[in-house]
Amino acid sequence: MQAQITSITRRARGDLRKSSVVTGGYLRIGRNAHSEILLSDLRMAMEEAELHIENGELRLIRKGTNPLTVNGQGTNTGLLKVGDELRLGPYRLVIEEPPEGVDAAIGVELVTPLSEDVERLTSTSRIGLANTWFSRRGFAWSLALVIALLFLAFPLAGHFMSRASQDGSGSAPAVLAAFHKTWSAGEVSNPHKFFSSNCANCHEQSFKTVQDEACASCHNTVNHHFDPATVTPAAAGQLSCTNCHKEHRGPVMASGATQGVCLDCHADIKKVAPNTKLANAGDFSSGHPPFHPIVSLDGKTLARVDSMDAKQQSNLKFPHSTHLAQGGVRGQTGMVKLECSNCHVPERDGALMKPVAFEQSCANCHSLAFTAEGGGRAVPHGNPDLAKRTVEEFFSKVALDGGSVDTTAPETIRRRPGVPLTDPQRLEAAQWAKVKAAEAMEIVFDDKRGCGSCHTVQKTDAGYGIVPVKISWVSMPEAHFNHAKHAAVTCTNCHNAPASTSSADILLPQIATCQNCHGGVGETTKVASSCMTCHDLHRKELGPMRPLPAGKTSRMPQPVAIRSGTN
Amino acid sequence: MSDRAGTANTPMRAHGGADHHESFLVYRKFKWLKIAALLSLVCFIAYLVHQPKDIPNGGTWLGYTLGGTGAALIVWLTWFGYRKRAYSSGAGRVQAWLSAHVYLGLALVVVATLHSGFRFAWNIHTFTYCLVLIVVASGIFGVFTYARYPSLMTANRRGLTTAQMMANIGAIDAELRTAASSLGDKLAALVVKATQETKVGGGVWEQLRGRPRYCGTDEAARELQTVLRQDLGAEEHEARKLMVLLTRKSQMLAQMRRDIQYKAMMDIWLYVHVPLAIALVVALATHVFAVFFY
Repeated sequence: MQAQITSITRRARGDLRKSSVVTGGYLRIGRNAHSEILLSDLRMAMEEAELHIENGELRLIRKGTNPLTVNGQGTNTGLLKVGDELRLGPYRLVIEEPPEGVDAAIGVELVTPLSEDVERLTSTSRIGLANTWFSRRGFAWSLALVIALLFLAFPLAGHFMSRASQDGSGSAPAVLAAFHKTWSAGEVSNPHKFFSSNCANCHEQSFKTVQDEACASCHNTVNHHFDPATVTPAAAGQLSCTNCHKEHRGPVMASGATQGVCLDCHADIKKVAPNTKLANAGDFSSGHPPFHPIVSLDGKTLARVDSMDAKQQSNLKFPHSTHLAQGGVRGQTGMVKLECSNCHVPERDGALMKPVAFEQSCANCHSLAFTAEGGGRAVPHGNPDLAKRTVEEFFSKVALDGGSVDTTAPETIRRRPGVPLTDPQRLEAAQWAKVKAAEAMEIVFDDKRGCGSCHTVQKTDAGYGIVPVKISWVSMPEAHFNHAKHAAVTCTNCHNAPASTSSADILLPQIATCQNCHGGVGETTKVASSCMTCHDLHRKELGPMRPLPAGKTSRMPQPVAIRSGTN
Repeated sequence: MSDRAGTANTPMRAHGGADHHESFLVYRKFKWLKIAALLSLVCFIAYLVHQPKDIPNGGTWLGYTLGGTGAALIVWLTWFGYRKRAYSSGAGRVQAWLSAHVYLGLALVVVATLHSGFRFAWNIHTFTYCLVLIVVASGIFGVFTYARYPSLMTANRRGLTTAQMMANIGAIDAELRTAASSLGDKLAALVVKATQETKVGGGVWEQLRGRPRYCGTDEAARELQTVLRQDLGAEEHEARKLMVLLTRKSQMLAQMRRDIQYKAMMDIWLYVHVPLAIALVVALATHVFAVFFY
């Protein structure tokens, strides 16, 4: 057969057609160089199809793998007529009217040629991060927006919604409340947690620190630190709750976390309290004034002393050295070795010592008996008048009853008990009782054997008296020393009692004794001790620091009455 | 913003005279390093000496001072981004700014940490601090890339421009096609794959990794290896020629992709540094607002 193959190239100025005539038994279509219809595009198979003449008609037979369509219909074989359009990969083949002497005419057009290599590579390649979806500007804006929304808008909305009602019962949705909490500077202390969900409970006004009134709405009974009349007005206003009490510091609220707050005033105390008798104070290791305990110097009044070397007058004769002698003291049943704890017993809380009592501490050795008769009759302790009456009554009764075993007594007194007295005998008995009582009183108030061995006895015309003992059992009331906490330390480490031969000695420790173990706040080799280790800011003897404003009731939650309706 | 990426390394690589080659890091004998170190030292000593009446935190006078210093630093350091884009007084000025930016940025970590008083929690305050750390860390990575990648890029490019590398690859494609025109369908299909299904660059991850998820050239080369083990008869010689061309193209692609990867590494930190710096300014404003609100 003979066929005219026309290569068509589309151009703007009109199509370019190049025809040639081929001869063969049939026509081969493909990339193979021997093909009658050569489709040189690389995407073509060597053999794509064949065209045969059958009874004057063209038959198409598909050979290759590329999809083949005739007038849009996929096909493997079929008869073709003039005007049919074949699509084979990037090619379009059109069956044309054959000119004279030719069996068939086919137009071939490469519709979608392979693009220019560099252009294709350039167009499919994205180079540089700027050409990706990732945009710095977009990322920046989205992040900024998310942060502003979550950490500014949400908390503000949470704030205003929870504050919506005056009683603080307003509430915000959980998500707003959660982001509202991101404004918190830290965990709220345990005692305050139960009302911490509403910040406005303490933070009553925006852009203003927590005011004392907010604290006082519950804590209205906390004692003051000073009498406001004794300090300058400027200083009086300086002490606010938040100076010492720092919230949002974790489960345990920091109370007076450092002594700096104290030293603000106490480093130069005269500046804020011109008339104070207090000395300036500094760090315990270097700036603390010496102790000024309360003792009696005149035996009448208690007062502060300037020095521990002062001699106190307690009106009591008590040489510690005698009682704590190595060999012991002579007791009623022989020699007894005394310990401090035999006389000094702590209070129930263990902090301070109870006042020493005669009955518990002294009576074991120190007898108050004034006669051997009646099983050794003794006077009671602590009341000279009662002692006198006791003595007089005893001897009067012996005289009236008779039957005394005292061999020095007259017959009348030693008579058989029950025998009535005559009038002269009665006078004799009364006289004897008076003399005996006077003798006994001499013994009872004697300086060697009686009250006078410990007490200062005053003998007047009216009789005997004891000068009252002046001992301050709480000598340093501003500091809360706790004996129990120091139980591991021997008493004599701080109180040099064994060496004290006179009760005029002040046996309280000097500050240097404390400083053996305690240092200032920055101390690393001693017990670091701040002002608050020994001192309280809120002083019990003073009134409330921040009373409830008039007409307000405390917001402190009250215990719920579990029983009501009963009288 | 994107067009700045191309000049990002300029101050490091070439500035001022051609012979004068001083890095911004050693600018004026480490002038800004000294200033930043002094600032850090002063803050550190102040922190050690300071005896707050409270536990150390941002609310003491020193805390406010450090916070104010930190906030001023953040605003100034962020301002650099605008300053850099608007410079008109020559590269030397930008170099001074960049030197100050880097060293004061490092000092910011010291100032911000001391401002925190080492108290951290799940709140806006610690969040802002974390943003400071991330922004500074990304900046440190940026300095690292400026020190490392320009020389690697120069060595890798061997004097070629991107356009030249593209053209070279295109030329090999043309050679491949000519060589394959007379070859069988299987080999021709490999060449089509190698020329049609190959690209360089791509998405963020593809650029950073330095290779695309799929490469027609590499795939064709692999398949050709398998084909070559079979008896190809007359086509054997041409097929080996294809292999040589494919291998050469693979090498060129690898070079170009490495170039793109280096470039991406030099740019990617800015995609963290800049947006997080903006986020930091917003977080800082929120932090300050929240502190004074309550």
